[in-house]
Amino acid sequence: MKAKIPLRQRQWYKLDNAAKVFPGQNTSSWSNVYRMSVTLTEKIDPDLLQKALEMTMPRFPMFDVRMRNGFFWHYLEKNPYGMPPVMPDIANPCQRFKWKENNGYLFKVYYYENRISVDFFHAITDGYGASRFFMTLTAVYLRLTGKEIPVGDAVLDINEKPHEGESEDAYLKNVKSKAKAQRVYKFTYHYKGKRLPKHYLNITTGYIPVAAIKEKAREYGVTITEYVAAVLVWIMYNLQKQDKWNKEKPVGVQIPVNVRNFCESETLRNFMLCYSFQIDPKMGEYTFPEIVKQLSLYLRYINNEKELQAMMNGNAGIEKNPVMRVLPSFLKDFGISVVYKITGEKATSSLITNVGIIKTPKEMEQYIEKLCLSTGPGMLIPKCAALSYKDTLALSVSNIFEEPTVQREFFTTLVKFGIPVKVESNRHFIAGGDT
Amino acid sequence: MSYCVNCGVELEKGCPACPLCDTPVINPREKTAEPEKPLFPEILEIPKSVSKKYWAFVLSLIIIIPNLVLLALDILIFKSGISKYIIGGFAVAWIWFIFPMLWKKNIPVVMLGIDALALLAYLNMFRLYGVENGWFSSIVLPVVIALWALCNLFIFWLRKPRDKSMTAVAVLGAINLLSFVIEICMNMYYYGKLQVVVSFIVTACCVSLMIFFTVMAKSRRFKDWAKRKFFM
Repeated sequence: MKAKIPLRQRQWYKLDNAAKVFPGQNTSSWSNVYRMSVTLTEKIDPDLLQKALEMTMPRFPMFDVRMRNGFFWHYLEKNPYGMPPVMPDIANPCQRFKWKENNGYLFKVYYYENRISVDFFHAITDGYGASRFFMTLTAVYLRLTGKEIPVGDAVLDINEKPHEGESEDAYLKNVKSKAKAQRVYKFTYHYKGKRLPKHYLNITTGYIPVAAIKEKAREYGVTITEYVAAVLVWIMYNLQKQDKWNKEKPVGVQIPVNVRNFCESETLRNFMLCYSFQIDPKMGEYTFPEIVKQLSLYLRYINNEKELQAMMNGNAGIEKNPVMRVLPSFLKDFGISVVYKITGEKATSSLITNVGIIKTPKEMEQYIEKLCLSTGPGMLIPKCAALSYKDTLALSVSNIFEEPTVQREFFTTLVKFGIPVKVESNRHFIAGGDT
Repeated sequence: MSYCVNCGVELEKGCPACPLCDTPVINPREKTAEPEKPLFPEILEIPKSVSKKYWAFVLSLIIIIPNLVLLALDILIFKSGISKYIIGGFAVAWIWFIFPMLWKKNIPVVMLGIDALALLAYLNMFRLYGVENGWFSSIVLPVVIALWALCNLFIFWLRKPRDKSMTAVAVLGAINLLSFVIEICMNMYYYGKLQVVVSFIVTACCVSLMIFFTVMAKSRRFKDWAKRKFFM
């Protein structure tokens, strides 16, 4: 479809501080795409879903954009083309986005049986913003099927005008610190296995009763995120021990945090920062309780507004650096892709992102069977994503290896710790692919 | 509902095997149940990517055009005949780096053979158009064959993951062997006798390093001692 909106009327946005690196990292092996899926009680009607999407889009102008190449930076521009099409689901989600496909939109809506899934490119939003968009879309769809769904919690009012604060670059607005966080991490252990062919991704999701995992976390006096992160470190630590070529490298986990918990902002764009935690097996044998304790104490020590401000200031400093600013965008992309290939995932063995509890109006809960979040492929590391809905924690492990060793270790460890897990995976559905 | 007897996790209804360990699910009670819709569709989205053949074509064009210009200039203006050596060099580079892109799956041994033949053909061109006093058959041919054979041995040996120290030992051994071949060929060509001197010096260096790396690989005690003594 040809452009209908004149150039002058097309609103444009600078990429936020975190999003600036994503266009340079948009490759098949590192797509920076994540997926949210909701399974409803009824089969999805694609026509109604398309209509729901068209009704939802005006409330979220930050999603109604396409990626453009500026001379110095990439930027987001209001999409002059039609609506993004809803598509039948695929077995290998979270694939890289090409700027010209999907009518230029940076998210894709899929449907399959009772399930609606949306793949988001990280440059437009983080897990918080995505959950607001996704739950609003689901609520609008349910309303179109004749259900009474009120507005509230993660469901935004589509009749309301978009708030100005929802499209702000919260990093630049909130950065006040003069200090820059200096963080040096060692290169860590990475699980090695036979890689899946390009564009394939192994996603295994475990559904866990929140009460069961909360009780276990309470035994150690930690939060659910800390507990799950500790399990990840524990299994990677044990996998390294079993490795024939064990070099006793440090084992680490990266934990993105929602900065909205510290700096007030209603932005629906990216507003998160990452902490890294490492243990060094050269220091001696670790037990699981030791890892939980160290991780929890480390996060409690470091996770505060001042530290986050210093991290934000450090990141903003790179963006404001005069040398960085004058480099053409293609050189920046090349530099980012090279730097991230060399160092990006070297300093962590895995990643766990927890979006937290997604709340929806009570009337909506009865129509939703399950909700889950899964991340895209990591070049070296398995990535874990979590969210809680109603009384269930959905934990997804995504990786690019044929053998489900990491997933198996992760979920069976939880079972051994007395936490019941129900699993589902796309593994057997992508196994028949062209290998 | 079914549970995996191996992993202990609960499985989705109708799941034929555990996705974590592939243990088949045999639940007599679920047999009578209606077959569930699979969790994921069979559709796979594989984006179209620019093929290696396309890049091979583009790179070939980039190489061919200046070479054709050079050939024309040499024939019409310079008339020196130097272009055949430059074009030959580019042809060897094409066979080494672009030719493998035309194949879906590369077999290293075959590719190495083709590379060695291309190099021999290029050097043979110097013999044909230059001075012929036996240098090709006395030096070039045995050295290239020795290098090709050593590379093949390495390909065969590196099929399994090897320890870095042992790889260093193998590389040093190969360097030592190659030095013997080169020195013998050179001496036979220039002096007509089997005289080996320099290679023994190379051997002394290589063997001492090989012993060091072997002990490093085999003895943890020595490794710890070396780390303590030579830390920087």
